[in-house]
Amino acid sequence: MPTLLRRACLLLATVALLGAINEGLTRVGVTYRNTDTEDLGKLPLLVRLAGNPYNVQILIIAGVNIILAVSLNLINGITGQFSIGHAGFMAIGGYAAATLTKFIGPRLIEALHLSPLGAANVLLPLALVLAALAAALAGLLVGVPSLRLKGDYLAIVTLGFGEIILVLIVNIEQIGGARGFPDIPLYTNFFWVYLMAVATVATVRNLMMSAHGRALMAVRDDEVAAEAVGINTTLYKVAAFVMGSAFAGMAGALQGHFIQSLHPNSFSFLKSVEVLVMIVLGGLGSLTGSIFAAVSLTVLQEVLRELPGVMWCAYGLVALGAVTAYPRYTARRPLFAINVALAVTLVWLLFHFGAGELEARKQYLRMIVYSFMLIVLMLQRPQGLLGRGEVSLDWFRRIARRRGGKPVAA
Amino acid sequence: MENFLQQLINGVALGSVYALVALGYTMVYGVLRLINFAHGDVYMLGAYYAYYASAKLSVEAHPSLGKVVLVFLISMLGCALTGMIIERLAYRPLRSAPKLTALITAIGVSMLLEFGGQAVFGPDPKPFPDLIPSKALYQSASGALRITNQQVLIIGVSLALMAILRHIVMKTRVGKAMRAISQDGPAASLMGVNTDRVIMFTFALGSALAAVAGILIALYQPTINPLMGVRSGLKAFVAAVLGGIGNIPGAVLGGLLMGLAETAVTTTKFSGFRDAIAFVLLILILLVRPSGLLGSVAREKV
Repeated sequence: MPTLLRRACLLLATVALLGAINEGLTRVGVTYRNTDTEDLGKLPLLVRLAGNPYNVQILIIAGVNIILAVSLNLINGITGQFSIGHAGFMAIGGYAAATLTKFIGPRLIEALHLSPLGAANVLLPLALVLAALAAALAGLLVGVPSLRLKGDYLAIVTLGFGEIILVLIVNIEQIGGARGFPDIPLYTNFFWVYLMAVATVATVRNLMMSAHGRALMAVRDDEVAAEAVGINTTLYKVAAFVMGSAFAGMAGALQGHFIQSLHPNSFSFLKSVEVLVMIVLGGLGSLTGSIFAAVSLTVLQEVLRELPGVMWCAYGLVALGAVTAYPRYTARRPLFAINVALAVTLVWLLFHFGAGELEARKQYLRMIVYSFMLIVLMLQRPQGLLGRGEVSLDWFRRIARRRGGKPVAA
Repeated sequence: MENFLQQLINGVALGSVYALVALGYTMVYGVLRLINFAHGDVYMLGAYYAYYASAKLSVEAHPSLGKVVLVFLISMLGCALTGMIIERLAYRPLRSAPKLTALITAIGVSMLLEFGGQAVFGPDPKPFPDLIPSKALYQSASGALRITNQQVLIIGVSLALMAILRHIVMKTRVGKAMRAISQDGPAASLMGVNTDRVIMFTFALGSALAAVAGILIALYQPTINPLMGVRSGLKAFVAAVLGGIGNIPGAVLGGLLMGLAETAVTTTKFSGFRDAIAFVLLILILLVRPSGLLGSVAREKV
């Protein structure tokens, strides 16, 4: 069977490639740490970037965010069901996996005589499977009753569910309660995160191409019409929801075994919104858009974290100036007014508090600019960067052909 | 028995605040079919407007009934304006946009107010001035039952506002327009109803109610913080859904039910689950009655 063979080869190649990158990152990291600080500047740029543990950390968080964004896009963008409780499923997966590796893990290591590396490579997959199953079960429990409801009700129920999960976690002392789950073994590395990210993207992409995926999109586009042509809409909605939840659970497990602790506050409504912003920015229903937005927002947030408070004000003003000058923008008075309002607020903050006090409040400034951008994005380009389009090799080829076909001015 | 009565009163007081906030959610949903996530933060702003107004008027140093009423009015007016600005700038341009777009914008506005609040007012809780000093109106011999003037005030003011709201919605021209829009927006527009203006009025009305709710809860607590609207807003919203969203008596019923349920849970050993009960209740009721307790089933036409 040639397709099967091709897929097997592709899988092997992916595993080999990711393994090689992982190995490379580890080796470069080790060399980097052993090099004298004076010699660091002499290393090639790529090595400096790849060997810096902080950069690798950002890369791994970006991978986790890719899984989250793509899985939420399956629910929101492809099936058209508005879920805003994604962090809840992430929390379930994270806590389930951490419980396994922390309480049953040591016994397994002893029974099977595993080396530290072996322990990571045996226990993490087990934990991922458990996390996916737990989150899927939760997704089923939430999805079956609520997906019979339409539109906004699902949003409310998923939101409520996320809150219930947090309250439950806070009240269970065995998993740390409000203090968080400490001392989770470090099992996640580049290889596992990106293997799972590739698996998530491949699964969702193949699903979109299949008859089942078409059914999901039909449900999104017109539920009544989909039902009329014989699609079991409830079944498809629940299936997509359960699948998305399972991937979110996996992402939670990966994050837990990377940061080595879990805290209920990191799975609050804000985390769900963060993922939502990613898929909206990339374009609802566009996988490449989600991946792009997940990576760029993660990197941007890390880079901007270091920015001082005054710079945030300046940044907000520059961004405002840039969009305000945009001609299509000035024509839309509400947007213009929002800009002016924000600019006034930022300047007022700057003069009222001064640079020192502003520094203490910069995390809020960051979020102000962030939420402002979200509003402007919705008003200006509600379909996101890519809409429902995808960036692929074909897309580049088409652009190249269009460029080539253009008559050259004499 | 006395303990039960005490909890009943606590529950009704909490519930009437939820009901006031829930009314704003339900009215906006009625006319726009939009979950106004920013409503909980308008409630927070109400408390802060009152905080600054009473500091300016130095109510604590020279207390008088007139000044207290003035503080309420300033805060209501401020919130009404805030609500109208939000509607004009963020929601009106999206009137014909897909639902999801409007919903995400609402989340964005809510985040903007929350983080803006933390940046401008400071993230730490502030003590709310003692506008109306708490004193017991009735205290039973055993001391288990104690009714304070604040509880009576909360319940009384809420009831009065609900009566006024009912009058506006049922008896006035603009109320009739609101009901017409919530039945069928485009048709109301064709009949000569100035939809935009009525929607703006709805936001102003809902936000003013939220302002009162914010002050009442701030008097009761008595601290305020920029994130006080997040949890209470969510719960009030759940209350609106519980009663049937878009339905005004439903919002009141849902709010009271929620306040009572929460107080009841607090007295049991499951008090840690106080914040979850709202959502458990919601999921249970939606399972049995998908459109809420008093909501009507909208039949979908193809």
